[in-house]
Amino acid sequence: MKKYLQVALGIFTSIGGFLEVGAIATTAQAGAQFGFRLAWVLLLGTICVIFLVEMSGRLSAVSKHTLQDAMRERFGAGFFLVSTIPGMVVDWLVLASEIGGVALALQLVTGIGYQWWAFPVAIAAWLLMWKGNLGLVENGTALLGLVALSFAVAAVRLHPPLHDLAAGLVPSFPRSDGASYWFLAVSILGALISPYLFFFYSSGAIEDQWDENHIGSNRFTAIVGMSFGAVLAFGVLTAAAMVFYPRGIQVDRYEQVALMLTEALGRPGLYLFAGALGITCFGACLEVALGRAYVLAQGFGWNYTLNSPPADSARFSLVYTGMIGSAAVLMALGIDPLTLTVFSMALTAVTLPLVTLPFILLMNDRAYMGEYRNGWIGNVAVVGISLLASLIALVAIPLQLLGG
Amino acid sequence: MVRRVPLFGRLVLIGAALVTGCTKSPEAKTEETAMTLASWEATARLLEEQRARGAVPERFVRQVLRAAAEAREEATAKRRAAGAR
Repeated sequence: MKKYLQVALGIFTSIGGFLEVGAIATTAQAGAQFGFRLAWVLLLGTICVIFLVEMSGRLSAVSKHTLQDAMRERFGAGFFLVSTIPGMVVDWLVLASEIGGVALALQLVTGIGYQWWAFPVAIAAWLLMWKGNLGLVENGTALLGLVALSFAVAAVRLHPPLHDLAAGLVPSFPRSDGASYWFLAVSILGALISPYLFFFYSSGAIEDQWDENHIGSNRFTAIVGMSFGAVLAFGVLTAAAMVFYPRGIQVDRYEQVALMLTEALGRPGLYLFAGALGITCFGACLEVALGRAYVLAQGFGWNYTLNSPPADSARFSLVYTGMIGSAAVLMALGIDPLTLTVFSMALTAVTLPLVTLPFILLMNDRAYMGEYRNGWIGNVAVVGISLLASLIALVAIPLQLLGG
Repeated sequence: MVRRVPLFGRLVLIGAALVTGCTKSPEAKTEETAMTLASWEATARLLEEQRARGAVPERFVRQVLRAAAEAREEATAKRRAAGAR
């Protein structure tokens, strides 16, 4: 049963952290504009995320510290503040984007504008965190999130040319429109490699009381959970490449994205798209709000748990309440969710080195990891990811600002 | 003697190169606007095909058409502004 719960944490992390509004938007845009040619970025991002999620789970299981807690202890309060303040601003914007994703899903089904749904969505997410426990949050979302499999089903039903898909897994340079190609590449990586994902996963491992016996299943969970998210993201890219690319349709609005599922699945496709968008973004709302509440609680030494009444961890509860309430205001003002998503992804990319670089040091620290320190493969992967993260940060912002 | 550029200087140079390299010319902006308009035309055609098959509910059709009209309006305004310069 415990192993099942552990895999549920991985699937939930994957649904909320891997496939969410950012990943759906960027992979759909990539498929629409470049066909299968950016599939390699998705593959690279998946490998990166598997490594990082496995490491954050192993860190918690061995050291009994969450990632943020260990960073604060190892690098001091100054570093904690430097990394937390920008991270908090970015997470707030990401949270608003995710609320926007759920609100848009409701708009597609009801026809009522997304801004009207911002507060009902925020209240539903808050109630689940306030009244529920971690098991309910993890398992409920993981189970409902299976509706996102419709992306994979749609991709299969569209009969993609496997040769082209396989060719897309090999990195290539664009024949034209290089700025858009590389901007989309870094946006996909920024959307997939989200720091809140590692914070949440690491905190969940502590809440679920993992120890050294969980290391094998942690690896399995990271691979299965993130691969699940990757299959769904490949489904989005493939469906967009099959439906939009040949017709010359760019994805400028979320309403267009739904057309790829209605093309493959007919009328139910619209409801499946709305369900998948809504549930994955709802999962991400919970993950971002909780992830940030965990970070602050661990950094300042407050009580934190979802498994007892909110009064037992009042400041922790206040943080996720404040985060979700204020993010809903941003969306209720009518800011375009797609624009906000792209902007918040670029900012996410900027903050990546603040997480990945100290991660290298922690994962090699004998005091924390003992015999479970990183091997050379893990180190090379994390160094590679960190360099990639820096590159993302350097490239994404100017491209973003100048509309590349 | 070759003088080494300090790290900060190199970063500034890279940033400047990115900024100047990514700024779009008026022609590129016009071309982008045309592509946006063509993309929405293609979206409308796809929507019509799906509507004819009964694959999309009317409420959704109205939403996409409204989004298309807004996008076209925005693109046309951009084109007008670019032409005025």
